[in-house]
Amino acid sequence: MNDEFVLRTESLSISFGGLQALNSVDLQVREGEVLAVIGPNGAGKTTFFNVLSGNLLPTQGRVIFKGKDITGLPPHKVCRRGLSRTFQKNSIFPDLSVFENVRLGAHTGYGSWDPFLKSAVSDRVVVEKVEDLLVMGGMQDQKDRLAGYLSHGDQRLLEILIGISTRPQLLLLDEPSAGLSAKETRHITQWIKELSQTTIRNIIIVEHDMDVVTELATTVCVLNYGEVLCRGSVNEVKCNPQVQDVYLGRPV
Amino acid sequence: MIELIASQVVNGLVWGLILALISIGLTLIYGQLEIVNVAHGTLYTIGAVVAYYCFAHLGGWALSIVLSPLALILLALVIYWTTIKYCQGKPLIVTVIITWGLLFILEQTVFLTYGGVPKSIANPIPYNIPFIGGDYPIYRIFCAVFSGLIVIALMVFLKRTRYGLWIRATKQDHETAMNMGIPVSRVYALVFCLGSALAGLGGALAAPITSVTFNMGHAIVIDAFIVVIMAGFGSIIGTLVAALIIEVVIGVSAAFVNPVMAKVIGMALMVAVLFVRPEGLFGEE
Amino acid sequence: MSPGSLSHRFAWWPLLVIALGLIVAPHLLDRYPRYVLTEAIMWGLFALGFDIVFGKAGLLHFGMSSFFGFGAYGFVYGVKYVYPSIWVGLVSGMVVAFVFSVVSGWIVTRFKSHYFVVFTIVISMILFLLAMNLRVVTGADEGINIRLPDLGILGWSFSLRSTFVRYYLILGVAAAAFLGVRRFFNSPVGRAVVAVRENEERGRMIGYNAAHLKLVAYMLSGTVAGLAGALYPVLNSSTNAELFFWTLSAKAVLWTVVGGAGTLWGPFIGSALLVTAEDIFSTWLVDFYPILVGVLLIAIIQLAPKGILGSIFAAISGRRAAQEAGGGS
Repeated sequence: MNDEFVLRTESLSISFGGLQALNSVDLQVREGEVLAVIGPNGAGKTTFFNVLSGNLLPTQGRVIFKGKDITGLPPHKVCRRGLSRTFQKNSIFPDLSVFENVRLGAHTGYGSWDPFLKSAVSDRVVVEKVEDLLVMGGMQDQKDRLAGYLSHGDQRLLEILIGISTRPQLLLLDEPSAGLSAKETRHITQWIKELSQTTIRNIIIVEHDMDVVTELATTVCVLNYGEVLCRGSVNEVKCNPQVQDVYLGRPV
Repeated sequence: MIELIASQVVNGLVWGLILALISIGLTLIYGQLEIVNVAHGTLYTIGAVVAYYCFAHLGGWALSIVLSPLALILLALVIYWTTIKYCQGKPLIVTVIITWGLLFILEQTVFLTYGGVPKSIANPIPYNIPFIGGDYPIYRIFCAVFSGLIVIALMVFLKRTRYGLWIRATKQDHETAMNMGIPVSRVYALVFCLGSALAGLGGALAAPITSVTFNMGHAIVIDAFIVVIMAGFGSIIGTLVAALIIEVVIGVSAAFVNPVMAKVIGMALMVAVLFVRPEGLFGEE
Repeated sequence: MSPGSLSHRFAWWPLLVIALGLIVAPHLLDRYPRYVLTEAIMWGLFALGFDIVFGKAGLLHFGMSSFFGFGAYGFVYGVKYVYPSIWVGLVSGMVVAFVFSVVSGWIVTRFKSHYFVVFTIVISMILFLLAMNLRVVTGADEGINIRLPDLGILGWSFSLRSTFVRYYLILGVAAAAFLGVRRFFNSPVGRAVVAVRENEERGRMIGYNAAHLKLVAYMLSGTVAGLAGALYPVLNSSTNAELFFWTLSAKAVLWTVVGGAGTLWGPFIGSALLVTAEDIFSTWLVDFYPILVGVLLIAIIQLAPKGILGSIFAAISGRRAAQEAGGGS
């Protein structure tokens, strides 16, 4: 039974002081599923990601990834197990080139454990993979530029490129469209859609823009006050009266 | 043996209170301006040097209780407006390198003007009181009481006065404080002066106990750093407690091993504390 | 294939010119300037140690003098008590500094920024006091004099009484260490060290153990500074406890910041300039030299925080960026 889920959380809870940020969250991601997590501000979406990726230790509950318990593993180990994430606020290496940004991640995903003195760019498997990724993101022209000098839209793309460069089996996308124009949002949504149908098949995405969610998600889950309010297909969730209450701000 | 240990404990408490003054100065400046002032020990030295000049040329050590802090306030104003003001909000690296530069400038200036020869100050209160198996100098008791009073006064100042409120508000969030009409840069200057004055006062009090040398600040700044880290940067009560603990431990150890080993023991204590509580005894993070 | 690191574009011709210049230099110089140049190379290697931990790993280590001191005493004790050979001395100096860097690094690298700085200052100050105190072991400020054994290379033997031999030995060791360090920072591990400095959170999130990487950089830094320390007795036939004093740590900071932190070349340029300057000024400015150092530290960090080389690199990449923008990409 367990094997059909790539990721499964069991009554995941975390509280900061008196605030219950997550309350007994049970979520599953099946093979090939794109799960969108939505909810009002402060619903615990980013906290949920932080627990999954190992940045925060849950006060209760377990995270099962590919059938193994990864609760409490530090982020770098979680990543090496095949779970990668992006950030809502761009988190790149600003003073390094675009190429190097992607190469750093690709070394984790595709590199062999080189001795200390081997040149980083002599690993052809990694370098070729980086070139592929850059082409995939349409950034091959900019590969020598310092990442900090890119436009916000390009940094957003790079953010995701770094995320997929570690060869994840599950990718967590934290508001990929944050701060993008309508045109850029359409572009990045289309791109993620292609990704989800080809290389990165399992995705959890946190997003505010309902158009993006409708376009990408196979399943939607609504979080409110750290609890799962409901879960289902996009249409099911949209028609759910409780969800409408939450979004229109009426008391539940 | 008991007598020795008892007198070392009392010595430790006396030094602990003086050290608390200096360390609180350091931690105040860090808490407010986010600057690790490496030159703090030199400010202490300057306080002691002023005390020596008061003793030798101005008619008496007692004057330095006023003149040392005053001199340090003037010096701190100059330092603040010429350098510190410009490194606010810059990375830690910048501020540490700048205060390190100040250390070179100040210490060498003291060396060139005051000279390299240690000088001593006659005990201002040359009486003893009876103490377990011997006598204990009243002057040291005076230092302890005086330092304690200053620490209390400082806490009252921070709790009760308008400037104290401004200081606490600015520490919480300087942008909001600025929007509320608090003169933030004046608050920073005030705190820097206050912290420096405390170091200078510490120097003035310590001067008659030790001899006054141009590099006497090195030894004390090690202790002050140990205290400040052990307490957790920014906590005043914590700094007081940590200063007392450290000086008693170093003092008692010094009865058994040489003074340098005693400092190593003090540092080992700090490391042990940090392994248990990485944010320090009273730290907030 | 250009991965876009600036040091890559700076590749071969300057290296060749500098190498040739350094090989010819001692023959063009008198005895005393030759000594100063030799000294500058040794101090440059020491500052390189600081550049590794500070410029590359972003850790502000203010107690580099400890490594230098351990390296120097490691050399002396190695030659005196292990085996009378220069090579044994150098290895012994490195090993002693390495062991100290493992122990101290294990403690201090777990602490963040300001704690780290203060920790390194405290440790180095206490070590200085200890070194001055343990006269039996260190000879305190009088130090220990040593008769240097001959240098053996592949069956040949050279006397270190010749200043040329000292020069070439120190140059060779420094060059080898420099190339090794450069190679390390082009390796995947070295690149990851830089990545963690740039963005620790993301670095962890793409699979790098930030704590280990910092410790690795710290140990490399300490070992390189220790190797520089082991060269001190080679140059001066003696060592003393004042090598542990914090002035030396501050000089490493100054040389690196002036030359350009994070560039690896910078420390050598900074030390070459400032050791020469110190030599010129100190004869008629002895008293004011420390003040000058202080003023320079403050001025450089305020006005040109990237240092000489860093500013040059920034200008080059700035011009490239401007060209790209002008080219309408």
